[in-house]
Parts: sequence; structure tokens; C-alpha cells
Amino acid sequence: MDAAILFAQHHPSLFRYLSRLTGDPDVAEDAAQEAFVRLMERPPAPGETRAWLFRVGTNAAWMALRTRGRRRRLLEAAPLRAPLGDAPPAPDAHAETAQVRERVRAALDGLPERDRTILMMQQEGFRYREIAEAVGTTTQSVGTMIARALNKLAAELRLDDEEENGWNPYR
Amino acid sequence: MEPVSLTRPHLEDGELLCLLDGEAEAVARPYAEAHLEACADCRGRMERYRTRRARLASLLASADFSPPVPMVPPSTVLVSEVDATAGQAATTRPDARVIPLRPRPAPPVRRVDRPWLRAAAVVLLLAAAVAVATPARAWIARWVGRQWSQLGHGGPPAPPATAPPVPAPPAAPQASAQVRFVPAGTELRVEVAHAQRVGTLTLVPVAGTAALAEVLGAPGVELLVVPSGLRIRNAAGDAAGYRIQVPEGVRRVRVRVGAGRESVIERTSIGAAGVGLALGS
Repeated sequence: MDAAILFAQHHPSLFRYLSRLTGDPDVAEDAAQEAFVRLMERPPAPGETRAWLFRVGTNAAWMALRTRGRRRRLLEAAPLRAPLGDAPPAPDAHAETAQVRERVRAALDGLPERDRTILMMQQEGFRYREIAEAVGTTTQSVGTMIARALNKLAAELRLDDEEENGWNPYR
Repeated sequence: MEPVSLTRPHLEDGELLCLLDGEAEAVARPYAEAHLEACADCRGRMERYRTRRARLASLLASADFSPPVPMVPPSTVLVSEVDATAGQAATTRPDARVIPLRPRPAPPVRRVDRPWLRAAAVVLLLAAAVAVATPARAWIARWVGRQWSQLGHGGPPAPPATAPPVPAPPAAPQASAQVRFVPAGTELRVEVAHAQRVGTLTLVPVAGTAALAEVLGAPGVELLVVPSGLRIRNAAGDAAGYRIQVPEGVRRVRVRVGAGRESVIERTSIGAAGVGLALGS
């Protein structure tokens, strides 16, 4: 197994998927790295590498997010211990992207972890069988969960409004 | 309402998604397809899901984070080291800065250069050579001769009679840097930072999925794999050549040299011997 070739093949889509899933590129990159390290330690059966990487990366990302959530709650409970200073302002050139991102993020964060995982894996082109294995459900229920997640996002992001009014993600 | 919906239930949302995704094993396909054909309501719902998903994909893409400069997994570093040790083609780190491999300089040898000590050793060994009537005498005499010469008492030291012949170095140009990578799409972009005073970029077709880029004859030029393809960091004064093996998945190669025009080379137009692009300014 050539690690560098596997990395070149799978890292871009894994990072994209994980950053969409978590909304945090740092968490996404750490989780992707974790998945590749584990791939080298315990490689899966041939032909299952991609699904395996996404499964392991997903677990690592959720775990990192939970840890981060606990830390944030602790800091909020003791604000004097929180680091001082504001986050640097986004450059104007990225303001629109930041606005879209914020809106999409809020909508995705409203989904349960499992629905979000299923939806994002489907966006990466995985088969229902692979998605079901990743989240521990049946193949038959994946379609229902995707539909449910899409319905919710459609309401949050007004995905159905475009034909009537001209779609605007900033609303 | 369609008549069919009065006698048979409409398809559920999950079934519509299964049909949309071609997931035959997740849905009772013959029934679902027959129903869909007869039921405009369900067709409309399915179309709405299709549209929603396309818009979501577009929205997600516009909100994506740029991938960071990827770190290389530790094991990849190990693989590279093993490759280098084995004398194979060098690293294949994606998006990594490729440093030409050079032999590590030997640590400086600490030598005590005291002529009087060397002279004393010569005298002692001369005495020993006279005293000892063994084959060792000849070796001692040669060693003494060398030391005597280095003390300035003769010409340059003669090479030892038993010195093994040194093989001549290979004449073919060796790559001073290499990088192997898998292009992300069907187009491979090659950006050469500067036009050179002389040099050629050669494209050669190769089987398989991995591309191999090599720098010929100019240590210091860097090859970087970027999401769009390959970036060559050279200088205007360089006279390096470059060879890029174009794998099967790539349909065309776009080469831009400095701020100049882009050359587009279809892979089908590259013969077995390759095609060359002059990099001269």
C-alpha cells in the first residue's frame, strides 16, 4: 500500500466532507490525519479503504467536537479563565463566503449528528450500504433519513424558494 | 389527485430518495417505478428532492473551506525515507515541498597536524622496517614513503598499487528532484514560475494513474504538487530540464510558463517518445 498515493487520492474529499460535517477546518484536518495514521497502523481490506477512512474520520471528528464542546462549556462557566481578545475580523473579500458559510453552518448544526453524517456522506457519493454501515442503521432507512434531513435544510435555507423569488442564501 | 393514489399508497419520501439515487436494493423497485410512472404527485415530489439536493450541493461548495496545506502522515515520511535508502524514486508526498535529495555531508575529521610527531613516527617505522624481515616491510616502506612525501620531501604521494579501479559515473542525467502524485482531474496544470535561459519540459505518456515529475540537472529547483497539478519553482537563470510522465486519466495538460500564454497539449497528441516544450525566454 502506497501511503502517499492513498493520501493524494482520498485526503481532499475526506477533508471536504469532515469540514462540512463539523464546520471547523482544524477539527477536520486533525480528524483526517487521525484516520490516515490509523489506516497505516491497521489497513482495511482492499476495496474498502475509502469507506473505512470516512468512517474513522467521522468518529474522530465527532469525538473532537464533543471534547471541544465540553471545554467551551467549562470556559463559559468560568469566563475569567477564557482567553482574552476578539477573533480577527474576516477580510472583506471573504465576507460573502463567511456569510453563506455561517448560514449553512447554522442549518447543518440543527440536524442530529447521524442525519448530518448521512447527508454529507451521500453528498460525497457513498452508496446507501456504506452509509448504513458507517452510522449503524439499515440500508432501507438511509433514504428516509436523507429525505428528513433535506426537508429540514430546505426549510432553514429556503431551498425551494429559488424558482418563485430568486434564491438568496443571505436571507 | 391521480387515480392511482386512490388505490395504491403514494411512495414514501425515503423510497423517492432511493429511486433518485438508484438504490435498487433499498426499495421495492418494480412497484415504485410503476407507481412513479402513473403518479404525477410522486414525480413532482421526487423532482423537488432532486432540485433541493442540487442546490444544497452548490451551497455547500460555495461555503467550503480551502484545504490546508496537508500534513503528510508520519508513516509517509517513513516510506519516503525507506525509498530514499533503497535508492528508489523519491518521495510522493502530495502538496509537499520537495527537496532534492543530496548526500549528507560527512562530519569533519579532526586531525592533529604536528610535523614533529609525524617525523618521529617515520623514524620509528624505518627502524622497525629494517629490523623486521617479513612481508610487512614492504607495506611499512610504502606508508613511510607517503608520510615522507606529505612532509614536503618529495612529489605527490603515489597511489597504492592495490587501489581498486573506480567505476566511471553514469553519463545519463540524473533527476535532482522527483515527485510522484495522482492528478485530481482529467486536466493537469503545470505552472513553471519563470522562463529559463534554456531548458525543455518533456511530457511522456505513462500507464496507470500516478504522474511522475522530475527535474533534470538543476539542484535547487522545487516541485510542488498543488490541487490543480504541479508547480515548478525555478529561477530565470536556470538551465534545468523537466520530464513529466502523464498518466492515463489525464486528457490534457496545460502548461503556463511565467506570465506567458498557456499551452494546451492533448494527451492523445503525445507520442510514445514524448513531446517537448521549450522553456527558453
